[in-house]
Amino acid sequence: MSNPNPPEFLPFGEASLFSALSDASCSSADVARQPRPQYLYRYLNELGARTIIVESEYTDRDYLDDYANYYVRCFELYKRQCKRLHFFALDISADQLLSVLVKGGDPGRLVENYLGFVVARPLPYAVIGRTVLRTYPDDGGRRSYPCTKTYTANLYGLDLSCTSLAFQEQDTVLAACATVALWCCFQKTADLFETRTPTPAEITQAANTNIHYGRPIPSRGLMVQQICTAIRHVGLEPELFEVNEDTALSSLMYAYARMQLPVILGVDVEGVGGHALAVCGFSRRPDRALRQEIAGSEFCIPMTGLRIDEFYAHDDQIGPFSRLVVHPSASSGERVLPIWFDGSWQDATTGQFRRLLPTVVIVPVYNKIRVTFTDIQEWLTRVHGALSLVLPTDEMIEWDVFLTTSNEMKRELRQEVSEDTVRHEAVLLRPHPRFVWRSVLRVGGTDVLELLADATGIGHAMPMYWVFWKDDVVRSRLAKHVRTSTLEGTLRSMLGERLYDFLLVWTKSPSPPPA
Amino acid sequence: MPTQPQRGSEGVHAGRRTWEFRDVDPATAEAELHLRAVEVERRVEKLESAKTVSQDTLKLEFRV
Repeated sequence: MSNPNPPEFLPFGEASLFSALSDASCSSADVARQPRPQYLYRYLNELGARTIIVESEYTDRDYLDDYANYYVRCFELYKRQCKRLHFFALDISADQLLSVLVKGGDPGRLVENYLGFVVARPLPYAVIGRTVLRTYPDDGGRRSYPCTKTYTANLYGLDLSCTSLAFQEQDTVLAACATVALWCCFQKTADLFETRTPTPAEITQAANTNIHYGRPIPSRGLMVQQICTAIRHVGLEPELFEVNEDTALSSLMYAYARMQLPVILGVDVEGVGGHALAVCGFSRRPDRALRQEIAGSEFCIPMTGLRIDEFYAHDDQIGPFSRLVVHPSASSGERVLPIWFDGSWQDATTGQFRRLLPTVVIVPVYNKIRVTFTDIQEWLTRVHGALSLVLPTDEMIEWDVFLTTSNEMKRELRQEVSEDTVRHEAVLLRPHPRFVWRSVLRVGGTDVLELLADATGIGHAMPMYWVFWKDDVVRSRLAKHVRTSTLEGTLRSMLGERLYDFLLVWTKSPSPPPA
Repeated sequence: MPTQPQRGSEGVHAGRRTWEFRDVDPATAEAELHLRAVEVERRVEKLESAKTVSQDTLKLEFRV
């Protein structure tokens, strides 16, 4: 008996991609005019796509929910099922696939060259449904995409894996940009904290539970308060940061993204309006990309954000992993921005990139993560003040500040080669809080010390609980200053009593103090 | 004293450091610390005040 829905095999190209994405509701020419499919073509071309295998009659959970909530009740008939397009970086024929599927052929090359999939929704516009595509290569460690996970697609019984973060474009009915940004974030938080992955329709409904200015569906966008409500609805807490001239924004987003937590970045797209994106990766240069991370010449501890030249974000108006190029401080009307971005939004008339002016950062965190990046920055500012007596003035100094879990921290510490096995053992064998802020001080590329802070504690009560001296000279020099009677008053006032006492105890000897 | 070679937290071999930590006398340290304390206090105050989110921010809309 012949198969009524055989897979389609297409050589990858602009025309074949747009044709595969098209449907009775949206012609190939209509698809070709939309920016998201154009972006996908460029992205997949860059990844080296060679073949598209089209799986017809594919039932997608997210679209099915959208369909049940809206499209089924339209007078116009919309299809219930989608198509799923699989991409491979090699030429594949139907015979080759069949040989692997039913004749016991080796699936190795198919698996290795799998680039991911795109669900094509049978809608008149916004055809890009759930999309899982491989990231760009790391370019020698410069690019990092920590907020990704492993997805497995089953193609006729063959498991194909891809490390990514799911993306989709807004359909403007059940989801606007913020809904999609939340949907992307929840894909990863489910992986980290075992929380739910609500569909776009569920997110929009949840966001409008307490605050609504008019009907929630068709959706006309979300406010910050509504985003926070939607985050609480999945059992997480919204950590909210207002972006002003003093916000160390790059370091802030890095600190959470490094733990694999996607960050919602609210921006004002100049000349267009408010827009939300899900930040899921960054590019770190070996040298500084920025001279100063905040506006003006105010003192701010040097952090890893100074080396970040790009972020990668799921922008539902552009595509997955779209580039946000970091630019130094600038003004916009009365606002002074610490940094701003461009790289994806183009003005159709001038061809110039539009500026993306950051307004707010919202991080969906587990409820036990209570100490924020700002709290840690305050404590490190004090510590840095004391360390300035010891640190060289002509070397690149950097605080690498990031949130992590105790398990991940121990995993990473085990990888580090250290001659000091006694102190390594001490930190590995003791219990730690489930969530930890790690602050590594690096001078001229060399780690000199690391501070651990309890992220589950109280921000105002000194959360630091461990010092890892990676160079004993820094400890001995600091020990001398904290014990100098003429400095004690100033140090106590600058550090605060608890931090001063903590340093007094921890600088006493290279070994950790007795518990 | 130069450090022993070790792999840093970024996973790269940091190697021996070629620079020296500062070793300032108490009088210099006292003068420097007074100036630094002022900067620290100002920065901490700004960070503390940034924790309060304004009503305008809560009402920001994302519609694009």
